[in-house]
Amino acid sequence: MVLKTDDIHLVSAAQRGDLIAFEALVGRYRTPAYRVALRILGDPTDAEDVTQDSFLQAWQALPTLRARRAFSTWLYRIVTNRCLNAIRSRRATEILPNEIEDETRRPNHVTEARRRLETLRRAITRLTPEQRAPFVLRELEGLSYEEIADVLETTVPAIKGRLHRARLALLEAMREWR
Amino acid sequence: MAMNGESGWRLACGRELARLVDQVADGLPPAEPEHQRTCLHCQAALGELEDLWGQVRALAREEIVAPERIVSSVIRRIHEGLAATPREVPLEEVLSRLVRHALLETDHGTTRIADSVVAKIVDHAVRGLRGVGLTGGPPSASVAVNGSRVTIRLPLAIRYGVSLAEASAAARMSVIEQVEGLTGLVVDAVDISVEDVFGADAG
Repeated sequence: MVLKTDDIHLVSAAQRGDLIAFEALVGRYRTPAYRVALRILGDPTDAEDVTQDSFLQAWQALPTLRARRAFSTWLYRIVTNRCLNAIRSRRATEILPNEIEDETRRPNHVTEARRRLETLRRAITRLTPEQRAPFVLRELEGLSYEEIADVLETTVPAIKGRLHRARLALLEAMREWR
Repeated sequence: MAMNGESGWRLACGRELARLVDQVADGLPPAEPEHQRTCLHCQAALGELEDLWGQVRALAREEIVAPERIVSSVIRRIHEGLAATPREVPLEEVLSRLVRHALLETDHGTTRIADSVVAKIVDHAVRGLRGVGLTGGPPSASVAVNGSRVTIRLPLAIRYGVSLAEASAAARMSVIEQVEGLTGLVVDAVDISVEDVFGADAG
């Protein structure tokens, strides 16, 4: 998510309460925000809820945003934190059935490649939230270690450690479900 | 390759699988290129990892588009939020909405002149003119104030036989003179609408 020059104008207009400018920002950033949420949460409905709530929070908190250039990182932070909160409250209320076994037992309607991609997608949603957020931001969104540390408000070595554990956990999971 | 405990992360050749994972995921150059080129264990592990990361990259390339309704839903919820939580309006502001005042700033304070006062002055200014009458009950003029500037809307009745242009020009002149002379405010415009004619049956 690279902030374009006219985005900075939109951000400053929205900071002054210009709802038209904010609507344009939501239009431009809805897909990156939703994509991160979907990849962390794994569920389209939850992802849409989190995306909406994140933009509402962004609208309310915009006047406190000092560095307008940092809007995209700031938005990633709001979305990621909301995803992690959603996972925590979901874990407390329900236990997800183990869909991965069901998926692999299904007859061979889908191609092998699709099945493996689906298995990978589910394996990612089984990573711990602490591992999942840096994994999604790095491997799927392509953010740098520095950007991820900024989004998750921690240090680069801490991110590297979490990411390393995430990669090994994923490898282990994929071996088990082969 | 067994995955039991810490030993599971070490290949038969003694190399750590963890190193190879980061090599493949981050696209780093190998730490021991000579060894990797000839070691079957390393090559098998690298093959497995390249395959897995090929899938990860395929997943990253997958096109995801957010539903368009997100935009309208967010904007609607902001509007609802604004309507549901009215900000606290200071008493000053409420009063100024009920009674609108023109303001005359001086070095020693502000004089506030209610718009109804200006409207009464307009009525008096018109009443003395020949051939011109007011419509409805007094005050019939409406006054829009903006600081020390006022705009006046004035409905008039004109006596039959009198030139409408001359009568309205006389009314406009009189209103400007009286309002500006008595209040010190500036009249931006006097918009006159001729609404009635009187004295036709008598004439």
